[in-house]
Amino acid sequence: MKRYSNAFWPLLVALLLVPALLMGGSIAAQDDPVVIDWANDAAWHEAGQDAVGEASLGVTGIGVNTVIFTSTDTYQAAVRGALPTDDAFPLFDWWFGYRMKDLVDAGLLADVTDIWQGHIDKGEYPASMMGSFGFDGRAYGLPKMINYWVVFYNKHVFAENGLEVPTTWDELMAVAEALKSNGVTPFGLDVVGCRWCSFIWFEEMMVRVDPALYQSVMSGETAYNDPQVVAIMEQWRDLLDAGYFSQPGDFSDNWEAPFVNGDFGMYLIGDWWTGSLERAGFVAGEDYGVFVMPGITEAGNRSLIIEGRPLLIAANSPQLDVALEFADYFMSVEAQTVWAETSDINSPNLLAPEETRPGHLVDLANAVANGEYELYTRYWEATPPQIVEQVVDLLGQFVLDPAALQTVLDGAEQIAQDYWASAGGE
Amino acid sequence: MQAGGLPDTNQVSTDPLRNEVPVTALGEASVETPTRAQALLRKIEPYLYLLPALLLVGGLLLYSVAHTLAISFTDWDLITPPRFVGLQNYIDAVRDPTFTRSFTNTLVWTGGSLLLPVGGGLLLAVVLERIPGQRVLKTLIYLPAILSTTVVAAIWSYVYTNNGVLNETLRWAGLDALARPWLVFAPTNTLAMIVASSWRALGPSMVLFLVGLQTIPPELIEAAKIDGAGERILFWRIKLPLLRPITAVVVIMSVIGSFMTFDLVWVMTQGGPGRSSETLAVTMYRQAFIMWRMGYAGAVAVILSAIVIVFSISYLRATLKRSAL
Repeated sequence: MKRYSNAFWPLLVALLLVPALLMGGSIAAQDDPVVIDWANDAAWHEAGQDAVGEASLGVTGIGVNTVIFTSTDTYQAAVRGALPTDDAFPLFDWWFGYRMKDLVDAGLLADVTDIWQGHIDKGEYPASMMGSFGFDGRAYGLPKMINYWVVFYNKHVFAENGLEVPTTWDELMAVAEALKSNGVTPFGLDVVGCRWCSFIWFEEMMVRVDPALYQSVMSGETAYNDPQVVAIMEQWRDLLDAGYFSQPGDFSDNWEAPFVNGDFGMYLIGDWWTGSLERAGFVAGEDYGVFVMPGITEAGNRSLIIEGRPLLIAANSPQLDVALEFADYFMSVEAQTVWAETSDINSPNLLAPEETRPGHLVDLANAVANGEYELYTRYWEATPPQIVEQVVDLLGQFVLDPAALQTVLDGAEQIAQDYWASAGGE
Repeated sequence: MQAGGLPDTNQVSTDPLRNEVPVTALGEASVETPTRAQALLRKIEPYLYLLPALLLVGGLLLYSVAHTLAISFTDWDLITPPRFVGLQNYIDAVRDPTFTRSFTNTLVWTGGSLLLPVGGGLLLAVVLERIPGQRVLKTLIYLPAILSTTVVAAIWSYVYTNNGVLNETLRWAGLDALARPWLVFAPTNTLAMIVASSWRALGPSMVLFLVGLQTIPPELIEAAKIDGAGERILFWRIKLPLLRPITAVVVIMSVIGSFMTFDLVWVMTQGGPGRSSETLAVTMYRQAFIMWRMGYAGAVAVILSAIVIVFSISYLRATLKRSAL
């Protein structure tokens, strides 16, 4: 007992001292080169971020420490919780459009319009792209990743059925009918394992028919149950009724296997799916290809859904100036080349070497650069998340029960009205 | 201590357990101060041992409870300061049809969890107690319990796909009419997930009941048998009443577990499609980490906790009262 008592107090003192010594250590470490934290929830970005950080260290003297969160929800909570404080991550990935609007409104993000403008002036980025990363002419995010939503098609399935890539809506319907009559499901769609996937065909049908109407619904000016919207949804319902989609519950949350196996011929999704297919051993150009869905109307022919992953800078971070300097470097051709080469992500910098782009996406990137498409923000970010998060559940119900179309659209409109009324029609 | 040439009494003064005898050998004035310190130390010492646990419980549990209660009366999105809204979150929750559906689904989970893991566990324990090869069977039944919920959810997601093991087996057995998309429509999706959850929960409750059965004195069983009691009477009149304390534990754990059902649902359906399989815990999570309505989520958490506490206290009181009779 005596020996134990004697050991107790020194042990307590030691326990108290250890954190103090560790704190002392981190203070001493501040003499090292400037390193800033860069947080995200995408582990597959880690190698790219580290490589850009390494390159940056040599050019700007600023390195990055990549902080990866394995859960998106935890990541969002940690970032949001820290943003109002000086513990905020100086650099962090986020979602663009309305998903970053509340952060902008709360004054938590640094204005990066000048950085954008500098690189637009050099011809590195299309001027129209900046609009997706901010509001009212100001930009608050930088383009870390830009994706376009395209139709992936299984080349083997197309070849076996003697099919060509469709260039018009009628041709697409003919392809779908041919596949169906040959026992292959034309389109994969999952709203059970993937809750949010219900919006994919909603937004696509809208922009293929009337992109202006899509934007009007997104901004709350046109109702979800407007007759024009109902008419478009009826076209989608006809496709569901025709049996052109996989059945709910056909596959769990793994979409690659049924596509690779040829269970369905086409899958409409962001071009980021390329990475998943590569990992599944499916090779672009050989096993599969992509095409932009043809328009149902002339206006719909020029539409393209864009999804962006912005790099944001916390206004409250004590390292704000350093972060802005790094962000400017990140937009450069040099950094974007390193980024594209090490992350397998298509660089949005127009002057980045073509060889850094995945072969099957080069034509699309060039077409966008040449202004052949009008870009429309993905539904997930095009309207307030308070609406999106509820409407995707309703759209899921519609896929399961297409006869419920009017009920679903009436419900969506009620949700939208409630939001816009409480938000003061912002 | 001896090295300084001090008398033994001084050495003793540092040891609170050995201070009785030597104190009388010293003058009162010189002894009084160390004795008070010793007495104080002796009083404090047990609390010092408790301190780490108290800090942990106070910091991690009580603070969280108080914080959740406090934010349930606010409108808070994590990035702007919380705004006091009184009972509005509670009113919104009760009026929200999704909350009602989540509440109903949670009750279905509770009923299902009582029927399958608790009832099934009891049945298995009674049956397995007496059959040969019980060790192997017990191990097989317990085996899923070592899997994480996420793994269980992933396995059963494949089992329940349209062309999964379950539907294929049904079709193979000529029961095509029973094959269906298990996770798509309510209430089948909730019931299907309860089965998946029970697959994992059955083993632990069976083991608890087996332990309970072993504590029943064999002479009681023998006496009943001599009095002519058959297996049915033995179970209903002897075993089941004597299993009451262990049943209380299994029931309470099962009910609390079913009210907290989250991970399995989140992995298998995310509460969908169309929020049809959402439970209260999923609603709470969605409101907190998807809608960023921390206050509303806090209100759901408080309601959830209140239900569990009221049920647990009432059930334990009733059970203990009956046990005391």
